[in-house]
Amino acid sequence: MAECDDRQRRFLAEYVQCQQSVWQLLRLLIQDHHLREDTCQAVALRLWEVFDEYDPSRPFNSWARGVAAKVVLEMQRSDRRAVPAVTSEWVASVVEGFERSPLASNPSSEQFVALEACLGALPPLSRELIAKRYHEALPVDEVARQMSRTLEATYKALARSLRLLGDCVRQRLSSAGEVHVS
Amino acid sequence: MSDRCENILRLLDGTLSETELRALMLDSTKDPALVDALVQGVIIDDLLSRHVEFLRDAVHANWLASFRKGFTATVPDNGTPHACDRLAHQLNSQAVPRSTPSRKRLRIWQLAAMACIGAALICTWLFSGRFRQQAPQVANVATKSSVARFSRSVNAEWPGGAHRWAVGDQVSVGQRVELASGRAELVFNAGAVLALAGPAVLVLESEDSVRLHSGTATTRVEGAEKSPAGKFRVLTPATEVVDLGTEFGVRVVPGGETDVVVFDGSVDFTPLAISGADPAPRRLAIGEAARISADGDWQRLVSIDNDAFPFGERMFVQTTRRPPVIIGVRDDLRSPASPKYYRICHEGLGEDARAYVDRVHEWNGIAKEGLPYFLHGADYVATFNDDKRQCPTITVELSQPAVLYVFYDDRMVVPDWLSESFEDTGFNIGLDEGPSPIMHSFRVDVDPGTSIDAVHSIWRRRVAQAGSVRLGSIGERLSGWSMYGIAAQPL
Repeated sequence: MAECDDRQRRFLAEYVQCQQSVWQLLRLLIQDHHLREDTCQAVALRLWEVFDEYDPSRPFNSWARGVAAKVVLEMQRSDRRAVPAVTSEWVASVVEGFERSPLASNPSSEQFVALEACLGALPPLSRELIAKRYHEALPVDEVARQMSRTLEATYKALARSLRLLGDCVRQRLSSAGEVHVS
Repeated sequence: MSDRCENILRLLDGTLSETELRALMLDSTKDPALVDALVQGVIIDDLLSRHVEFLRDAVHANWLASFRKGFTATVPDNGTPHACDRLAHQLNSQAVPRSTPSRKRLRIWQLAAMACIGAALICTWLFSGRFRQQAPQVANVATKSSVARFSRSVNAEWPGGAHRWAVGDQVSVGQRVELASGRAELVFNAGAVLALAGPAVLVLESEDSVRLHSGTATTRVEGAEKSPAGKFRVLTPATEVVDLGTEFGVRVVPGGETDVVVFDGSVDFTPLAISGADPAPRRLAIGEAARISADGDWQRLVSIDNDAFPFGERMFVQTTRRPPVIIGVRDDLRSPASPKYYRICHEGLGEDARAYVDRVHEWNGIAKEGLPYFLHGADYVATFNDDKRQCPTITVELSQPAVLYVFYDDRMVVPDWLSESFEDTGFNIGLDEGPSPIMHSFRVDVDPGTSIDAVHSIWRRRVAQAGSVRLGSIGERLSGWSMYGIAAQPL
């Protein structure tokens, strides 16, 4: 667009690709929802402020997650009540986990296509659990009640379903030519 | 591993106790495999949550029933319409009511909503620290030389040392309005209403002229030809813009160039660099825009961001839910002598959205149920309806992976570029036509399902990466015809 300066355009193009990844990182690091949202905004602002330091030869995703981790640690140092219990070792290990993850390096559009294909391949019990927990947005204790299971068993079964889905999505994304969007 | 992995759900639920969280952190720092499982878990959890957003209402219920029975979800790469879309199409495929065009009117709920928004903004302002920190205010009494009134502001911030204007202040000839950020509105005694978007510096030169040193000013003048004060003028470092009874925007960009955009009616502009040679002013009509340089040259502004020229109720729309998807539009058609612009409206698609820059036609749902759910809040481009007579190739620039929609008039033959690279969703959108050069008596109505004059099929294409997408020209007409519309949602 004529009035957009080049810096803004480049930043926008990069940031919209990585914002979900930053959000996922923050979901692991910060449990409080409101604090997480505030932090997400602070991260976006910081990314814009230091965008000139970004090296385009590196993946923007990785750089953005690094900046996000720094913001979280700064917040924790300035107010320990704000981000309780977070250690720098934990933050570093989670950031490294994202670096290693093949899911984190794929665009969300491709993840989505793979997810939809994998949902159809889930066993019936997993399908029912996922449907209740995510598509009907029921809390886990309600899922447990409706399926006549203990809370503990429901958490385990859901975790297993997520792992199945994750493995399937990862496999599809790593199989060249099998996953694409028109 | 399994026992520890299940903690991912408790962590994401926020139900993990602090002791459990500390144990999880300690374990994770020693075990990269655990971290990998947590990362994979949060990504899948997030994907599933977003997947729900695609499946709504009745469509959601139907999809869910199919899913539980083992239905394999969307496989968009084979060109088959999305299952949800097929179901929704069945719900949406109702007879199109043809109605007599009627007068546009505001509904009670719209007025109530506007009042609530206004009240909320006033309350926010009153109780904000900013209100208490206001500098001593100018007396609200009109003075002999006051020519305008400071009528409202939205998140206005003032530079250090500058005067802090308050709602109700009178503004006199020679006074400056300096805005660091936010928006402010002035109502002139002569009838013009001017909205300023910061950062901006504006000086009142007379009762019917201002000098814009920097920033953006959008002005509406009703009945300028009847005004005793004459026509309203905006002077910038590069040009003089004279209103001819219209709504227009002027923006001084860094470097001294001036953008002039006409939203309604027409204006004349005269580059100051050549004014000494008694130049003939250049006229811009509705849907036209130009960038004038300090040396007097000018060029077409190809696309305009709707939010860049806030005015009226648009002054209040300062926040959006997401970054823009459509960030540029261009074509191969127009010469510099035809300075028409495309208007990009971020998250702007809804009932009664203005369809074209050169007509007052509006997009609406074809039945009272309204627009298809997936179009609400989409970015869209107001194109030129006059382009139905020509053959432009339009290039849309997307900032991210997106679903790109084209609204194509059912009265025309579907061209190859559309049928080959897009798929028909099965949904329709209605065009409520206002007066045109041929149909003088048409009037636009409000709300879906009324006064629908043409039906457009909604075609879609999944665009996997940010970048440019080229759209071709329209096909042959079978009966009536109108230019296609363009919209996009993030993928």
